[in-house]
Amino acid sequence: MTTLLSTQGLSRSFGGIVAVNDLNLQINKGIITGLIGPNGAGKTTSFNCITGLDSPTGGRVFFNDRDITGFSPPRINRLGIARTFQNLRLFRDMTVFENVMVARHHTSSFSTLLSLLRINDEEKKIQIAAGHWLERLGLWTHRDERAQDLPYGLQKRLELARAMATEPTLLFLDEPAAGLNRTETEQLMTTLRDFRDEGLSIVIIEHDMHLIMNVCEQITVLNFGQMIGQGTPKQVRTNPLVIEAYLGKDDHATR
Amino acid sequence: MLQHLLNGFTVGSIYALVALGYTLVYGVLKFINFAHGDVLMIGTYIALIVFNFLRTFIEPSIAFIIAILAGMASSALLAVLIERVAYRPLRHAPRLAPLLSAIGLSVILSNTAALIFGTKSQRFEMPFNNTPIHWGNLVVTPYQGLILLTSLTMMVLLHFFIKMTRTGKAMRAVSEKPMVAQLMGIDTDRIIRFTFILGSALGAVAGILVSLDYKVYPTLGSLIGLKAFIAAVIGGIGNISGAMLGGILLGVLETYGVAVLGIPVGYKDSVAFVLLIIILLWRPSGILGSNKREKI
Repeated sequence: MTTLLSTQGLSRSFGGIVAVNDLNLQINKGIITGLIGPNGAGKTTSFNCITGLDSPTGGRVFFNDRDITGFSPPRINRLGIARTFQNLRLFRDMTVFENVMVARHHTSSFSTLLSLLRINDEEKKIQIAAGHWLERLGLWTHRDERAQDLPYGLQKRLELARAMATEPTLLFLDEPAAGLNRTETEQLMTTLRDFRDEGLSIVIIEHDMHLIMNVCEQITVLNFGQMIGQGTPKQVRTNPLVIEAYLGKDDHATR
Repeated sequence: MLQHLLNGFTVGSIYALVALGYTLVYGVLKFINFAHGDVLMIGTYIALIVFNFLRTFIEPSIAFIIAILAGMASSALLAVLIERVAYRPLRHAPRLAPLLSAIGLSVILSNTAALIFGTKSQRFEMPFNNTPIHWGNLVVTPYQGLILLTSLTMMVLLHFFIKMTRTGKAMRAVSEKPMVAQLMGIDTDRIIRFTFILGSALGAVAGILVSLDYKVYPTLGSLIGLKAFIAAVIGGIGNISGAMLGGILLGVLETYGVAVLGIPVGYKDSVAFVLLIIILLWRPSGILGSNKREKI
């Protein structure tokens, strides 16, 4: 299996608090990787450092063997990395369609003034691509509604559609199943497997263990900003360090 | 009555054009560009110089069009330069810092203009015949017609630009959630630069149009800038339709205030401030502004 993205000694501290501590992540191509750990383990902070929203205080990030540490978010996005957020970050005042069209912004050679003259041609391409993702995620019939008027489950899907519309090769999902009911979660799992089968590599932060254990080929466990375990779902489930981090030292707990 | 409405609309559409410059920049940067009025003043001077130079060679109306384009271009260029050297380095500084930088620039620009162009007011030497046209009992000067036509066209174009084009969508995206816009591959610096270009070019047009009826002088930008800023706040700063509405409303109320309510002409400018106070008390976020709170 080839490595798509890796971090070397990635660290991020906020004042005295070390959120991510000397983390060596390895994300493989073509599979779904789960990133789990108790709250405050540094999962979202690592996402932020990798996608350029936050700058690491130490360490490097490599994508396709290229050092991308400190690249700007748009640049990282153009290299093929997309993400969604734990708490939804849609463009609330835009329509569903517009939200996805914005994501196609960069795919055309964009020169602000020239774009005025080529609106039709370029816009058509953008609309087709945006429409494609809306259809795939079952949002086409909602395309003219304002994003903020959608029910929560659909907003979550819209965020996924918007991320996919940037045509990533690596997709980071921060708690995609949070707030979804069983059926919606099952749908999401099917969608993610489909994406993977089409060649997309995915990294998921999630507390829903049903989802993690069933869609992930590989799982990385963090605690206090450090990796405490890595392996297949089965390996992770039986890893004593992981059990300790989740359930505490006394193993009276039964779950 | 209708006559006052027309006059008010004319003044108001000028305010609206300038107000758009404040509101556009506020939309993407959440920052009031207090140098806006002076940037458009410089553009107006450039247009004046170009016009006075060209009118001896070519047809005045063509010279005037070229002068407008030159004014727009120079304002835009100046705004881009200012954004680069005076605002961008302060983007992550406390909010007061770029504001002070803007006020400082405003002083520098108006004084530089006074130094270079002199403090004596100058005027566009009658590009067109300005004999009023009577239309029933309505009197319209060709300047008024030109002002109304140009500014309304520009506002309609801007509206569609923001709504329909990719860059317009990107501007809305940057305005609502700059960080997420970046993750969508949008180069926010570029969008911000473009916003400055757009706002100051519109401002330059307003500056030129207003000097047709009045004059060109170094502090031209200050009063019109202040009024337009008030218009933008009244309409709801950051809201594009709000800036248009606020501008027109302010223009009409000012005209009515003098003509109908009998406010002395010397107190005309106070209408704007009184209106501002009322709006701030009644709806602090402006008529079309919404006070959404940012959820973290």
